[in-house]
Amino acid sequence: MMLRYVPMLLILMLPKMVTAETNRTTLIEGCAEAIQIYENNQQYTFKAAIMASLSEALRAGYCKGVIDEYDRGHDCEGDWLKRARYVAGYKDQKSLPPSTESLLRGACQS
Amino acid sequence: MRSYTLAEAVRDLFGFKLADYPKLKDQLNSLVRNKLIHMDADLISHRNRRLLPELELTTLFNATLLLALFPDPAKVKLIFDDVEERQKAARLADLIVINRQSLLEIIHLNVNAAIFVNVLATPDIDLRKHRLDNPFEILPQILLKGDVGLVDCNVARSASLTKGDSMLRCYLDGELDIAAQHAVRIILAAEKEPSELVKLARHIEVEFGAAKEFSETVDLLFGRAF
Repeated sequence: MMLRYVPMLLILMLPKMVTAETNRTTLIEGCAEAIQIYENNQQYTFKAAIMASLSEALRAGYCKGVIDEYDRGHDCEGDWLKRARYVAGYKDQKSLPPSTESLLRGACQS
Repeated sequence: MRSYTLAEAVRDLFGFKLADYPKLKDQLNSLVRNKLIHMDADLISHRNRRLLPELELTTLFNATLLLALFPDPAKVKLIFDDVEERQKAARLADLIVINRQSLLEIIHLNVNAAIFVNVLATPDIDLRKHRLDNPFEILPQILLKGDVGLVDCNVARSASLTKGDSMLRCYLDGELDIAAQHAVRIILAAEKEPSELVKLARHIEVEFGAAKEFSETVDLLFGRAF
Protein backbone atom coordinates (compact mmCIF):
# COMPACT_ATOMS: atom_id res chain seq x y z
CA MET A 1 0.00 0.00 0.00
CA MET A 2 1.20 3.51 -0.82
CA LEU A 3 0.05 4.80 2.58
CA ARG A 4 3.03 3.32 4.34
CA TYR A 5 5.28 5.67 2.38
CA VAL A 6 3.57 8.76 3.73
CA PRO A 7 5.57 9.07 6.98
CA MET A 8 8.77 8.54 5.01
CA LEU A 9 7.75 11.27 2.58
CA LEU A 10 7.03 13.65 5.43
CA ILE A 11 10.45 12.99 6.93
CA LEU A 12 12.08 13.66 3.56
CA MET A 13 10.16 16.91 3.22
CA LEU A 14 10.95 18.07 6.76
CA PRO A 15 14.28 19.81 6.01
CA LYS A 16 12.66 21.72 3.16
CA MET A 17 9.79 22.85 5.37
CA VAL A 18 12.19 23.95 8.09
CA THR A 19 14.27 25.91 5.60
CA ALA A 20 11.20 27.62 4.21
CA GLU A 21 10.11 28.51 7.73
CA THR A 22 13.55 29.93 8.58
CA ASN A 23 13.60 31.92 5.35
CA ARG A 24 10.19 33.41 6.02
CA THR A 25 10.87 34.58 9.56
CA THR A 26 14.36 35.73 8.64
CA LEU A 27 12.87 37.66 5.76
CA ILE A 28 10.29 39.33 8.00
CA GLU A 29 12.90 40.21 10.64
CA GLY A 30 15.34 41.32 7.98
CA CYS A 31 12.81 43.64 6.36
CA ALA A 32 11.95 45.19 9.75
CA GLU A 33 15.66 45.80 10.29
CA ALA A 34 16.16 47.10 6.76
CA ILE A 35 13.49 49.74 7.33
CA GLN A 36 15.02 50.64 10.70
CA ILE A 37 18.50 50.98 9.19
CA TYR A 38 17.13 52.95 6.24
CA GLU A 39 15.36 55.38 8.56
CA ASN A 40 18.34 55.67 10.92
CA ASN A 41 20.58 56.45 7.97
CA GLN A 42 18.17 59.12 6.77
CA GLN A 43 18.08 60.71 10.18
CA TYR A 44 21.52 60.12 11.70
CA THR A 45 23.78 59.27 8.70
CA PHE A 46 27.02 57.65 9.97
CA LYS A 47 25.58 57.06 13.44
CA ALA A 48 23.29 54.46 11.86
CA ALA A 49 26.35 52.19 11.92
CA ILE A 50 26.47 52.15 15.72
CA MET A 51 22.74 51.59 15.95
CA ALA A 52 22.74 48.31 14.03
CA SER A 53 24.59 45.12 14.87
CA LEU A 54 26.45 43.12 12.25
CA SER A 55 23.73 40.45 12.11
CA GLU A 56 20.98 43.07 11.85
CA ALA A 57 22.77 44.63 8.90
CA LEU A 58 23.27 41.23 7.31
CA ARG A 59 19.58 40.33 7.70
CA ALA A 60 18.58 43.74 6.31
CA GLY A 61 20.73 43.08 3.24
CA TYR A 62 19.11 39.66 2.90
CA CYS A 63 15.63 41.28 2.83
CA LYS A 64 16.68 43.79 0.17
CA GLY A 65 18.27 41.03 -1.92
CA VAL A 66 15.20 38.76 -1.77
CA ILE A 67 12.83 41.61 -2.66
CA ASP A 68 15.01 42.77 -5.56
CA GLU A 69 15.27 39.24 -6.84
CA TYR A 70 11.48 38.76 -6.70
CA ASP A 71 11.07 42.05 -8.59
CA ARG A 72 13.19 40.76 -11.47
CA GLY A 73 10.72 37.99 -12.25
CA HIS A 74 7.49 39.78 -11.42
CA ASP A 75 5.81 43.01 -12.30
CA CYS A 76 5.52 44.87 -8.99
CA GLU A 77 4.20 48.31 -8.24
CA GLY A 78 6.01 50.94 -6.15
CA ASP A 79 9.42 50.83 -4.54
CA TRP A 80 11.17 48.18 -2.45
CA LEU A 81 10.58 50.16 0.74
CA LYS A 82 6.82 49.74 0.40
CA ARG A 83 7.20 46.00 -0.10
CA ALA A 84 9.66 45.73 2.79
CA ARG A 85 7.13 47.50 5.03
CA TYR A 86 4.47 45.01 3.93
CA VAL A 87 6.71 42.05 4.81
CA ALA A 88 7.85 43.65 8.08
CA GLY A 89 4.18 44.15 8.95
CA TYR A 90 4.03 40.41 9.74
CA LYS A 91 6.69 40.76 12.44
CA ASP A 92 4.47 40.43 15.50
CA GLN A 93 1.62 38.59 13.84
CA LYS A 94 0.68 35.10 14.90
CA SER A 95 -0.50 33.79 11.53
CA LEU A 96 1.96 34.13 8.67
CA PRO A 97 1.34 33.59 4.95
CA PRO A 98 1.88 29.88 4.16
CA SER A 99 5.16 30.42 2.31
CA THR A 100 7.84 32.90 1.44
CA GLU A 101 6.47 32.91 -2.09
CA SER A 102 2.99 33.95 -0.94
CA LEU A 103 4.50 36.52 1.41
CA LEU A 104 6.42 38.09 -1.49
CA ARG A 105 3.44 37.88 -3.80
CA GLY A 106 1.37 39.78 -1.22
CA ALA A 107 4.12 42.39 -0.94
CA CYS A 108 4.25 42.76 -4.72
CA GLN A 109 0.51 43.30 -5.00
CA SER A 110 0.26 45.67 -2.01
CA MET B 1 74.27 40.81 65.22
CA ARG B 2 75.35 42.45 62.03
CA SER B 3 75.46 46.18 61.52
CA TYR B 4 75.12 47.95 58.24
CA THR B 5 75.89 51.31 56.78
CA LEU B 6 72.88 52.85 55.04
CA ALA B 7 74.37 52.01 51.64
CA GLU B 8 74.93 48.36 52.58
CA ALA B 9 71.44 48.05 53.98
CA VAL B 10 69.83 49.50 50.84
CA ARG B 11 71.93 47.24 48.63
CA ASP B 12 70.90 44.16 50.63
CA LEU B 13 67.22 45.14 50.78
CA PHE B 14 66.62 46.49 47.30
CA GLY B 15 69.72 45.63 45.32
CA PHE B 16 70.77 49.07 44.10
CA LYS B 17 73.55 51.51 44.89
CA LEU B 18 72.33 54.28 47.19
CA ALA B 19 75.07 56.64 45.99
CA ASP B 20 73.38 56.70 42.55
CA TYR B 21 70.22 58.16 44.05
CA PRO B 22 71.25 61.23 46.05
CA LYS B 23 67.66 62.31 46.59
CA LEU B 24 66.76 59.03 48.28
CA LYS B 25 70.02 59.20 50.26
CA ASP B 26 69.04 62.66 51.54
CA GLN B 27 65.59 61.43 52.46
CA LEU B 28 66.97 58.43 54.35
CA ASN B 29 69.47 60.65 56.17
CA SER B 30 66.59 62.90 57.15
CA LEU B 31 64.84 59.86 58.59
CA VAL B 32 67.94 59.13 60.64
CA ARG B 33 68.03 62.75 61.84
CA ASN B 34 64.35 62.77 62.75
CA LYS B 35 65.01 59.53 64.62
CA LEU B 36 62.63 57.30 62.75
CA ILE B 37 65.62 55.14 61.92
CA HIS B 38 67.99 54.57 64.84
CA MET B 39 71.65 54.26 64.05
CA ASP B 40 74.44 53.46 66.49
CA ALA B 41 77.82 55.08 66.60
CA ASP B 42 80.48 52.96 64.95
CA LEU B 43 82.44 51.70 67.97
CA ILE B 44 84.78 49.47 66.02
CA SER B 45 86.49 51.73 63.54
CA HIS B 46 85.93 54.86 65.67
CA ARG B 47 85.46 56.78 62.47
CA ASN B 48 82.80 59.43 62.52
CA ARG B 49 80.08 57.26 61.01
CA ARG B 50 77.03 55.51 62.25
CA LEU B 51 75.83 51.98 61.72
CA LEU B 52 72.39 50.55 61.31
CA PRO B 53 71.63 47.58 63.59
CA GLU B 54 70.03 44.62 61.87
CA LEU B 55 66.83 45.20 63.88
CA GLU B 56 66.31 48.49 62.08
CA LEU B 57 66.29 46.93 58.61
CA THR B 58 62.52 46.49 58.65
CA THR B 59 61.97 50.12 59.56
CA LEU B 60 64.31 51.17 56.77
CA PHE B 61 62.56 48.87 54.29
CA ASN B 62 59.09 50.14 55.14
CA ALA B 63 60.23 53.75 55.24
CA THR B 64 61.72 53.44 51.74
CA LEU B 65 58.48 52.05 50.35
CA LEU B 66 56.50 54.83 52.01
CA LEU B 67 58.93 57.42 50.63
CA ALA B 68 57.90 56.24 47.17
CA LEU B 69 54.41 57.48 47.89
CA PHE B 70 55.16 60.30 50.30
CA PRO B 71 58.50 61.99 49.54
CA ASP B 72 58.43 64.08 52.73
CA PRO B 73 60.47 62.28 55.48
CA ALA B 74 58.54 64.12 58.22
CA LYS B 75 55.32 62.70 56.80
CA VAL B 76 56.81 59.20 56.72
CA LYS B 77 57.80 59.48 60.38
CA LEU B 78 54.25 60.58 61.21
CA ILE B 79 52.84 57.52 59.41
CA PHE B 80 54.90 55.30 61.72
CA ASP B 81 53.94 57.15 64.90
CA ASP B 82 50.47 58.58 64.39
CA VAL B 83 47.53 56.21 63.88
CA GLU B 84 45.36 58.84 62.23
CA GLU B 85 48.13 59.86 59.84
CA ARG B 86 48.68 56.20 59.01
CA GLN B 87 45.00 55.69 58.19
CA LYS B 88 45.11 58.73 55.91
CA ALA B 89 48.18 57.38 54.18
CA ALA B 90 46.52 53.99 53.73
CA ARG B 91 43.51 55.62 52.10
CA LEU B 92 45.73 57.55 49.70
CA ALA B 93 47.82 54.46 48.92
CA ASP B 94 44.59 52.60 48.26
CA LEU B 95 43.50 55.27 45.80
CA ILE B 96 46.75 54.88 43.93
CA VAL B 97 46.65 51.10 43.96
CA ILE B 98 43.00 50.94 42.94
CA ASN B 99 43.64 53.58 40.31
CA ARG B 100 46.45 51.58 38.89
CA GLN B 101 45.36 51.79 35.26
CA SER B 102 46.35 55.43 35.08
CA LEU B 103 49.73 54.62 36.61
CA LEU B 104 50.44 51.42 34.80
CA GLU B 105 52.89 52.91 32.38
CA ILE B 106 54.96 54.59 35.06
CA ILE B 107 55.05 52.02 37.80
CA HIS B 108 54.40 48.32 37.58
CA LEU B 109 52.45 47.59 40.70
CA ASN B 110 52.45 43.90 41.44
CA VAL B 111 50.00 41.64 43.27
CA ASN B 112 51.40 42.70 46.63
CA ALA B 113 49.80 46.11 46.20
CA ALA B 114 46.54 45.17 47.88
CA ILE B 115 48.35 43.48 50.80
CA PHE B 116 50.54 46.56 51.15
CA VAL B 117 47.47 48.76 51.53
CA ASN B 118 45.80 46.30 53.89
CA VAL B 119 48.74 46.11 56.26
CA LEU B 120 49.17 49.86 56.14
CA ALA B 121 45.50 50.25 57.06
CA THR B 122 45.85 47.96 60.09
CA PRO B 123 47.36 50.07 62.92
CA ASP B 124 47.94 46.97 65.10
CA ILE B 125 50.69 45.80 62.80
CA ASP B 126 53.92 47.43 63.92
CA LEU B 127 55.72 48.94 60.96
CA ARG B 128 59.00 48.66 62.86
CA LYS B 129 58.66 44.90 63.13
CA HIS B 130 56.54 43.78 60.20
CA ARG B 131 57.88 44.22 56.72
CA LEU B 132 55.34 45.59 54.24
CA ASP B 133 54.83 43.70 50.99
CA ASN B 134 56.68 45.59 48.31
CA PRO B 135 53.97 46.71 45.85
CA PHE B 136 56.50 47.84 43.27
CA GLU B 137 58.36 45.78 40.74
CA ILE B 138 60.86 48.60 40.47
CA LEU B 139 61.15 51.16 43.22
CA PRO B 140 59.59 54.40 41.94
CA GLN B 141 62.53 56.34 43.35
CA ILE B 142 64.73 54.58 40.82
CA LEU B 143 62.40 55.14 37.91
CA LEU B 144 61.56 58.73 38.73
CA LYS B 145 64.97 59.69 40.15
CA GLY B 146 64.04 63.28 40.98
CA ASP B 147 62.00 64.50 43.89
CA VAL B 148 58.59 63.71 42.40
CA GLY B 149 56.49 61.38 44.47
CA LEU B 150 54.05 58.93 43.04
CA VAL B 151 51.17 61.10 44.19
CA ASP B 152 52.40 64.12 42.23
CA CYS B 153 52.98 61.85 39.30
CA ASN B 154 49.42 60.64 39.46
CA VAL B 155 48.11 64.20 39.43
CA ALA B 156 50.29 65.11 36.47
CA ARG B 157 49.16 62.02 34.69
CA SER B 158 45.46 62.69 35.23
CA ALA B 159 46.02 66.14 33.80
CA SER B 160 47.74 64.75 30.72
CA LEU B 161 44.96 62.23 30.27
CA THR B 162 42.18 64.80 29.87
CA LYS B 163 42.72 64.97 26.12
CA GLY B 164 42.30 61.22 25.82
CA ASP B 165 39.39 61.34 28.23
CA SER B 166 37.32 63.72 26.12
CA MET B 167 37.98 61.54 23.08
CA LEU B 168 36.93 58.42 24.97
CA ARG B 169 33.85 60.11 26.42
CA CYS B 170 32.66 61.22 22.95
CA TYR B 171 33.35 57.75 21.61
CA LEU B 172 31.35 56.05 24.36
CA ASP B 173 28.55 58.58 23.95
CA GLY B 174 28.31 57.66 20.26
CA GLU B 175 29.66 61.04 19.09
CA LEU B 176 31.93 59.24 16.64
CA ASP B 177 32.67 62.30 14.50
CA ILE B 178 33.81 64.44 17.43
CA ALA B 179 35.80 61.53 18.88
CA ALA B 180 37.45 61.14 15.46
CA GLN B 181 38.38 64.83 15.44
CA HIS B 182 40.15 64.34 18.80
CA ALA B 183 41.73 61.17 17.43
CA VAL B 184 43.22 62.98 14.43
CA ARG B 185 44.91 65.48 16.75
CA ILE B 186 46.32 62.71 18.92
CA ILE B 187 47.58 60.72 15.94
CA LEU B 188 49.28 63.82 14.52
CA ALA B 189 51.26 64.13 17.77
CA ALA B 190 51.68 60.36 18.11
CA GLU B 191 55.28 60.50 19.36
CA LYS B 192 54.35 62.77 22.23
CA GLU B 193 51.34 60.78 23.40
CA PRO B 194 51.23 57.55 25.42
CA SER B 195 51.12 54.54 23.11
CA GLU B 196 47.81 53.24 24.54
CA LEU B 197 46.17 56.57 23.76
CA VAL B 198 47.46 56.50 20.17
CA LYS B 199 46.14 52.94 19.80
CA LEU B 200 42.75 54.06 21.04
CA ALA B 201 42.81 57.04 18.65
CA ARG B 202 43.62 54.78 15.69
CA HIS B 203 40.84 52.41 16.70
CA ILE B 204 38.35 55.29 16.82
CA GLU B 205 39.52 56.53 13.43
CA VAL B 206 38.95 53.10 11.91
CA GLU B 207 35.50 52.88 13.53
CA PHE B 208 34.56 56.29 12.16
CA GLY B 209 35.74 55.30 8.69
CA ALA B 210 33.70 52.11 8.87
CA ALA B 211 30.62 54.01 10.04
CA LYS B 212 30.86 56.48 7.14
CA GLU B 213 31.30 53.60 4.73
CA PHE B 214 28.25 51.87 6.21
CA SER B 215 26.16 54.98 5.69
CA GLU B 216 27.31 55.28 2.08
CA THR B 217 26.55 51.61 1.49
CA VAL B 218 23.05 52.01 2.89
CA ASP B 219 22.57 55.02 0.60
CA LEU B 220 23.76 53.00 -2.37
CA LEU B 221 21.78 49.82 -1.70
CA PHE B 222 18.65 51.16 -0.05
CA GLY B 223 18.48 54.43 -1.90
CA ARG B 224 18.36 57.87 -0.42
CA ALA B 225 15.28 60.05 -0.20
CA PHE B 226 15.92 63.67 -1.06
